Amino acid sequence: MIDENNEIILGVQGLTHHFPGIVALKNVNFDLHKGEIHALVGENGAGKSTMINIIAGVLQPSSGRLIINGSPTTFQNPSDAQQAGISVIFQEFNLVPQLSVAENIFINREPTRFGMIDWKKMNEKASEVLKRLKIDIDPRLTVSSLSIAQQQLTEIARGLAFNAQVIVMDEPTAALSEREIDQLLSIVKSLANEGVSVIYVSHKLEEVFKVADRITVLRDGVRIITKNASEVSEDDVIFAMVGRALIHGRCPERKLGPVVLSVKNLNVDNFIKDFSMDLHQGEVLGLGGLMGSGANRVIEALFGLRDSYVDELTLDGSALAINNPRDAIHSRIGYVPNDRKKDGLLPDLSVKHNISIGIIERLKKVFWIVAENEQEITETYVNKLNVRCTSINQRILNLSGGNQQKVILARSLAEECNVLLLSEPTRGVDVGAKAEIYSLIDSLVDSGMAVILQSSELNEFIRLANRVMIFSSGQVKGELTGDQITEESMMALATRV
Amino acid sequence: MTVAEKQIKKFSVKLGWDLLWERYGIATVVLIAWVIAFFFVPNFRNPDNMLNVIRQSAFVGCAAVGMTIAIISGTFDLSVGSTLALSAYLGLMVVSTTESVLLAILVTVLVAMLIGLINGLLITKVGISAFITTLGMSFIVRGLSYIISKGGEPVRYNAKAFIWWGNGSFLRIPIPFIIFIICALAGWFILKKTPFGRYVFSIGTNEKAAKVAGVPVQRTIIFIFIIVGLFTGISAFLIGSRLYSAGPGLEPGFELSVIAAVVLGGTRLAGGRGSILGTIAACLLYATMGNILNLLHADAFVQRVAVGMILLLALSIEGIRQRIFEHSSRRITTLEIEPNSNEYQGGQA
Repeated sequence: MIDENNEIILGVQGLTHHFPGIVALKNVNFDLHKGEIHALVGENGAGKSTMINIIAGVLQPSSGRLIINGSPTTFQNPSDAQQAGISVIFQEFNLVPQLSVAENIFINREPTRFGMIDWKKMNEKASEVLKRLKIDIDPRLTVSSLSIAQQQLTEIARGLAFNAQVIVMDEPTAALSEREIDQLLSIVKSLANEGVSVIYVSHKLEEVFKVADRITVLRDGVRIITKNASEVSEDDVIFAMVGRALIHGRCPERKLGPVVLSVKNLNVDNFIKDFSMDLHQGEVLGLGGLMGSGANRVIEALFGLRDSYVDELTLDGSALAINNPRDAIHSRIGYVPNDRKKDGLLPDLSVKHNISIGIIERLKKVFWIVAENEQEITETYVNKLNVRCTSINQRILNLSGGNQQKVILARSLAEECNVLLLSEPTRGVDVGAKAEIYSLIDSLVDSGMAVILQSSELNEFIRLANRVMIFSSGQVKGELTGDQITEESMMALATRV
Repeated sequence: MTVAEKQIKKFSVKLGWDLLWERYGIATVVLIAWVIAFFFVPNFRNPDNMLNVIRQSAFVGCAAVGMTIAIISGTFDLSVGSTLALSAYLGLMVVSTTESVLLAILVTVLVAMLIGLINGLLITKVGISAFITTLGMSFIVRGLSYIISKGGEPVRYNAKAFIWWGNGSFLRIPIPFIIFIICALAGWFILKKTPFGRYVFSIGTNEKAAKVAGVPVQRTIIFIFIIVGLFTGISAFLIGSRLYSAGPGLEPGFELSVIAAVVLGGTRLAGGRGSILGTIAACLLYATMGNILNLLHADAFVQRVAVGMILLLALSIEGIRQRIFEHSSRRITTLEIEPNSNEYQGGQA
């Protein structure tokens, strides 16, 4: 807990920032004490990124000032901010994958000897920094050989090597598994204990409450509250973020129908062995587990994205073979991929074309597309899912993450699928859109759809699934239903070897 | 919220301008070039000369229609020059021995489509990259045409029914240009109105996501190369007819002229974006520049330098334009998120 008398290391006063015609930040005040972890939360577009970019020297504010160690400062560029001891770890890594950990940590400031890089000194110094963070990575490894979590830690090490007084972390856990998140959070805490101040930006309130001393909520560029973490509840923060209470909690009663999809002895990549399950109409079956546990491979195999061998696969009682996504879609199985950018978006195409791509052959007469039908169907789904776009002809790339995700969902719905495979359906989506996606899934399931859900957020299972199968190293370690589905029980199974 | 919406409108107008430039920019350049030439280049305004310009645009143009489809899908075909030579040569052999123009058309086009099919199969089923496959194919096909011609002697044939296709006119409009426009309309229809065309754009913008969305990627790519063959075959027939002859060394560097025209027409080499209209305009621009230089008595080598310079100039303008636009589009992206959350708030309040 922070001491009121503790010195303010970074202050922001009356910060306002205009993008052409739009006020991204309105008169925001913010302060950061020495050794404090101050969480900055808000929906997408609330102004968090603008504020980070100003603190990092990437943007210059329209008005207002930054105060570093008591004196007003302006940053002309990011290296000014670095000089002032501010290190920002952005969502997208700035690491060079082909270089070693040590080279990345000391990039542009390599210790030299006679004009050449002093490798020995550099590796030693890098080890020192890594040791300080209690990270067990050999500094000579190339970054591309590291896991995402290790890369994240390397970024942090780079920040520390600058002797940063302030570290800003933008959604640092977006790509991490539960266990890695815990490791990261404990590192953040120990940094704070050493006197480093941290601005922690995240969507995930659970983590925020685990680490933060104070929480500031932004909404529409305005600071709504700044409170000690111990004085507010998660619901208070959500209320401040979205301006209303979010229906949280357990999944509603699911009315199960007959078995829709039945899998007997599915084998994938020599990793998943003899996986079997029956999926009922109106059911949401969660496939959980830590990253790399295999849950995702099952979904990809069922959609024909991975080579697999199965003894028996039946859909509505009749045998089925799925060798590629096309087969799956023809059998009315839909899929929402976890990596939206890589596997989902058709970035240059419009919202309309992104929705209709899976059904375009059903929309044709002789051999051309009937434009009116396409228009009508896509408009139906855009309205049904409440996709916010200026028109259905807008490029999908210009939509926010949540709306892009809704378009990808709309694509599967337009295919009129009976079974929906959802992989991380709310990754990179703001709280509001998340709530909408949850209630959409509820209503789909109500009307008889069967859903297989894979997620790294345990809350998502609690909220949506009536049954959960937990994987660990390719095997189902247990099955939970109804009230048995709790974070504790799921973690217990997921960590069982 | 109203302020935000106004802003969005303002920026959508900007976006609109950008799209307008992407779609019609090169067409505008052609018009400007024509207006300038009309007034300042001696003899350019002579109707016969202007008809000749549009006739010339057709020979690269037909093949460029097929290449536009290939490049939008993110691939390209380096073998069209050799394909042109072989199929034109075989077509002339057929017409000079059988005297059947119809049979010559069929042979020319089918040979080119067959080469396209082989390209497509090698790329999808064997998994060699399009660059290597079509480069290798261009050597093989060019070599074959020399072997078949036993050393490079061109075949000649000048019956009227045959040479009419390359040299004739209908209501004064050159036949090759009419065929070019028909090809372009067909290409436009394929790209914009058929599921296949939608697949072409999808593969070009994100092949993996297209596959996940159920696009038959391999089948589409094979068809793309067959279509490239089809349009190349049409060009081959027209050139053979225009020249009354065809030899194995026909039109060296043809494939690069075709790709240059497509890229100059605003089709993105990385795929996902492009238009037939741009390709038509670029072909007309090339033909116009060639014609102007001829009228000014510049020799053929100067013309080559000029073509290269036009391409570089056009693409550097394009590069600068995109850099400027990316900057403002990044702003638009942020702008559009902001009012969205405003709307959201509005709904709650």
